[in-house]
Amino acid sequence: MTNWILLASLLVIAPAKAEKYGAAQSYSIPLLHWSSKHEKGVYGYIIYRASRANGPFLRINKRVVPAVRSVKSADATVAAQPNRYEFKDETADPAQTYYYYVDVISTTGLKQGLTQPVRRDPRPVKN
Amino acid sequence: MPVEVYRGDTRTLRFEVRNTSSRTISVSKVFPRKGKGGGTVEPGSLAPGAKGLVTIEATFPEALGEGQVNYLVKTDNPDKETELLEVNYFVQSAYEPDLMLLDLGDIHPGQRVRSTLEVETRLAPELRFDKVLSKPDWLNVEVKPSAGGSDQSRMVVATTTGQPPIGLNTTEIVLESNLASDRVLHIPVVVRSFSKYGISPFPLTFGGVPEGQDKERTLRVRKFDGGKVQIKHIETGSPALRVKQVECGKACVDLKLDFDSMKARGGLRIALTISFVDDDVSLAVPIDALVVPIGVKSIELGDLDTLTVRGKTEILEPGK
Repeated sequence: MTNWILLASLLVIAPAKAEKYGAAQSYSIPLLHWSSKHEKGVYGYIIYRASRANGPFLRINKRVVPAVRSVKSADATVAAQPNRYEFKDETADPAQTYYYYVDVISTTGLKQGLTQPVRRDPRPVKN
Repeated sequence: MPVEVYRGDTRTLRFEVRNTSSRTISVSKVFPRKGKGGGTVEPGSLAPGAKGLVTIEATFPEALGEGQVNYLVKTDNPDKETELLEVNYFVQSAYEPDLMLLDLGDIHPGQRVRSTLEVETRLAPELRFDKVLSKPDWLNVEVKPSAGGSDQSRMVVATTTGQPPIGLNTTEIVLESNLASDRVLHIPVVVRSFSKYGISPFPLTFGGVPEGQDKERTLRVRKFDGGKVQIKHIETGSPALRVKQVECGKACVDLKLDFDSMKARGGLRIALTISFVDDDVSLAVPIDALVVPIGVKSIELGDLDTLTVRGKTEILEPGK
């Protein structure tokens, strides 16, 4: 039985550090951000990527992105703060469009959807 | 950080150790506290201050989630003959759903039942099940492309080919996939097989019963052909259980079961046996109850199995 509630599950993709790609143009490496709160029972997060909207999606993080477990305070104001996560997709071709989504995995090993797939287009870096 | 593995994985784990005592220590054995397996230490004898390497071939339980296995290192150190090595692990499934079940429901003579379950992976662009490693004799197993056409999904279709043994059958289908991890998939299968009579629920649980209190549950007995229910004898299997028969319409009798917790202090785990006038086959219904001692707080959690994804089950040749 799951005992967490995901109230904030936002996936945004922002540019990361500029990386050279090709001779003429640099593109930023995809950087995924999401936040989650009420993470009791959450072991961590799994990220999936596809080149097309309809898949196939493949898991890209070999190790689970660990949930922040330090927030165990009984203080409601602390517990109510969402934990923020980011994942830099080093294996991506920065010049390609990708679709990403994130699953949450519980300490009992059960996966559950956290976000819907989000499209990320190549982002040229201005020199 | 725990060792992250998939079901069925083994891992070679290495731990550097150092002899912090003032005498030479020899290691005679490295073994898990529970279960099979073992390890080695190189070198087998460590001078004061010397370092060694403990290598463990670790296997992990099939159960998903976090856990810990402990290894014991047996030495000739008189101050501390056994050192403990703790290995935290996290077991994942390579498939979705993580928990699955083919529940074929109730089956009577002459019926065939089929259950279909979609299994998916995100670890490879294509999922295949190349081999059925094991299955019960009375079940045919086919693997078909998914309805949605995804190469990452497969439909596992289980169809009864004959009558399973009368009673509650819990078994499994074992499939071999093309995945590098979690290659062998075990899908639990449940079917309740009946003769002329069917019983529901099967098995029956009273759940937690506070000590000193009674609790009632109902077992419904139905005759498959629509005729009159003719019970010859009921053997409760425990003095803590009283049974009263109540008609519930055509071809139906309710057995009102009253559990007296004072007569079964530890709880109940029995089979209630029902024999019939017009059927040679008796039915043994597993029944359990947990008596909660006075002063112990208990909360009824209800069905904890809600995350198990069941296959879609249909009766192919309905009986009466």
